[in-house]
Amino acid sequence: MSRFLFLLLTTLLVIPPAFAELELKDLGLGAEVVTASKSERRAQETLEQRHSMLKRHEVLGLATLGLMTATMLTGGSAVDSNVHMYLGMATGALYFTTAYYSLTAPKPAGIRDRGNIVWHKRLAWIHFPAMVLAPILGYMYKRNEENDRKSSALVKQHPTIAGIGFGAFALSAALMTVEF
Amino acid sequence: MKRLSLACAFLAFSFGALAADYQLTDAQATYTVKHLIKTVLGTSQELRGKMSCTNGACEFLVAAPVKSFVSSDSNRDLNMQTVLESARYPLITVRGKLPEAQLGQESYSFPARVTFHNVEKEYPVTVRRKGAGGSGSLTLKLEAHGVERPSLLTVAIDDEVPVTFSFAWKVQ
Repeated sequence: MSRFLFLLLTTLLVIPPAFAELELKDLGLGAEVVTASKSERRAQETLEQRHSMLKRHEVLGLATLGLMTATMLTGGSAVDSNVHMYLGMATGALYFTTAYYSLTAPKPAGIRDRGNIVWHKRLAWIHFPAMVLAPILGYMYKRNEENDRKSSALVKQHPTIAGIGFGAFALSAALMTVEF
Repeated sequence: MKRLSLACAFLAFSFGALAADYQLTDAQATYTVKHLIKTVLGTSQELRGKMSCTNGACEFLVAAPVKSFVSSDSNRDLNMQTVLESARYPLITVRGKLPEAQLGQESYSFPARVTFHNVEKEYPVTVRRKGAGGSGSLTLKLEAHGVERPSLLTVAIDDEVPVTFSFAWKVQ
């Protein structure tokens, strides 16, 4: 009988009562998972700073795309008026500001790029050199035309290089806005 | 002595004899975020859960780390973690109670308390049984949890975020 009683009491002690609510520790999740540590708070601050900078990158990028489109549309009258040139200068300024926010945005360690962002970044290897080269070639082309000088084959490629840059940039923007 | 034995037997029966614990296995949850020009899915397979059934009533708790939800784009996942403040509120938990008899039904509904972004709200959950588990859905409302809806091209994502899930219970 005493053995029976001992078994019953042991059962009572071991089995939790029915009213005990399940807790995270029952899932093997300790306080360290639930409470943010100092380093996690810093990580959150980094994420917020990144988010804010990339938001500016997004807005400026779209403004750049608008100006770039206008620059492309006015390319035909580049020799007769300065509108194309001024639009190009404004586009360049916005483009490099946009790039600044992307290049300096902090990125948490251990994050490997995946998805559309990979192509968004790869396309920068096309539009970035184009955006450096196109204004220089455009300026040289305009000066040659004004001074009745013959432009070299490379200088004559200004519209092509600008077009490639525009295409790559537009595709890069589309990748981040439309889900393919 | 006989009375004491009987009392102990009654107590043991009422506390433990009808108790069963289950552990969550093969679980996954997928959220769907809708925007004017795109729909995005993010899935987590790192769900942990436990269900305790006593005297015909079951109570469950399921938790998923915010960071474990993965979409098709790593940059978007980082944005999601920023908006949900994953470092401050790293877990999403769902808890609820339901009669044990419901678990045997083809389909059943019950209220679940969801703690998301450190705000607890109750949502109706519908589950279709499949083997020892099932699949179901619930629809979260971001603003009810104090989440600032992210926007793209100045258009914010939908407030309602449907979450579908599938799971199985294993006796512990």
